[in-house]
Amino acid sequence: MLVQWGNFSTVSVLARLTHQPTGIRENLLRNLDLSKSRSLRSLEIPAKSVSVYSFVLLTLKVILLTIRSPVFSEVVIVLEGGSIDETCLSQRTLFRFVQGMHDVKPFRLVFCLEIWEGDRDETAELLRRYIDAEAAKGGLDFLPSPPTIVFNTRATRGSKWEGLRA
Amino acid sequence: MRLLPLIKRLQIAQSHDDPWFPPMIPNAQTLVYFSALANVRELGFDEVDLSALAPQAQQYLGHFAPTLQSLALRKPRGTHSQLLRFLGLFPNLDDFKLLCSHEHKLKPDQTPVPQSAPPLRGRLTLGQLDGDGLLRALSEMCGGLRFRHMDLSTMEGGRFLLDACAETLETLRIYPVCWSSGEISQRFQFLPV
Repeated sequence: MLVQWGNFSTVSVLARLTHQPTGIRENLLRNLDLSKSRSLRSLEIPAKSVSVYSFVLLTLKVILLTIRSPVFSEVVIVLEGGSIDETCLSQRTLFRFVQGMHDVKPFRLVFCLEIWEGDRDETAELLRRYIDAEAAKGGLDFLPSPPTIVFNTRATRGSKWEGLRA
Repeated sequence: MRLLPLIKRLQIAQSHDDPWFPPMIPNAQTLVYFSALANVRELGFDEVDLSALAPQAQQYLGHFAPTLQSLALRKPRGTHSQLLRFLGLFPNLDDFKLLCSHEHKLKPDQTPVPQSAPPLRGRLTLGQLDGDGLLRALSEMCGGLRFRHMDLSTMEGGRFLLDACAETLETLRIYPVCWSSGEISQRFQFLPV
């Protein structure tokens, strides 16, 4: 099935994925086809996945290209656990990554902080500085609206049980 | 003791090497404490042996049924049907988190699925699943799946889940970096920065 979106298509993205190991490529296509979903509003990606590996970005492009939901509107980058420093996320990598995804499908950008209260303000401030600096350079002009920062109140104090919460 | 009814979130920590729950012999004192937990909404279970728990599950945990909305199991042992029967104890369950591992996989079996089923209309969190057999059995038990949020750190069963919840899924969290972890990731190109 060919999906056309802007200047990209699943064919062109898949053409690049063909350089990746066959098992992973087939597994991706078999398991992460969102084309049947009619209610999907939001795709969430942990900040730790905003990686320098081209595989990750290509993977997300393929997934975005399968989305047909008429209500899909946002990509949420989730900062989990500790401070933003732990993600080793640079401003340049972050927004290059976001633009790479936005090239294949438009969306609003949301940052969700699921971090300990102690690190929350500092991380939000650093994130705002990233956003302001990038916006000043015109690096966010591709977005339909400025990124928003939200807090997940369910994520509170860290503990050995944090991983068990449903 | 008087404070126990105020507890809404209960997490039972143990390891396979040193399990303390379920007790092999029902313990009157443990039962008294469990009975006092009358308002538990979130239950977390670490490394529970479902086959050992099965005979006593109703006795110890049955009174959670009216209030329990969220269940998290990490590295449970047992079979698919034992897990489904355990879920069937909680008719108001909406959120389910299941974290298996390569060492602790739930075994498929052919036992018929239970008749009672929770609604499961909230968040599903999955890690390290072995195929989609369990999900299909869960769907059969519930008469379809209706999760609104999914958190998938595994691709296994993804296709089935996404198709099954096509009319209800609103948010999807995925972990692509997990899929390229280990030695495989070394073979991928870096993004130019």
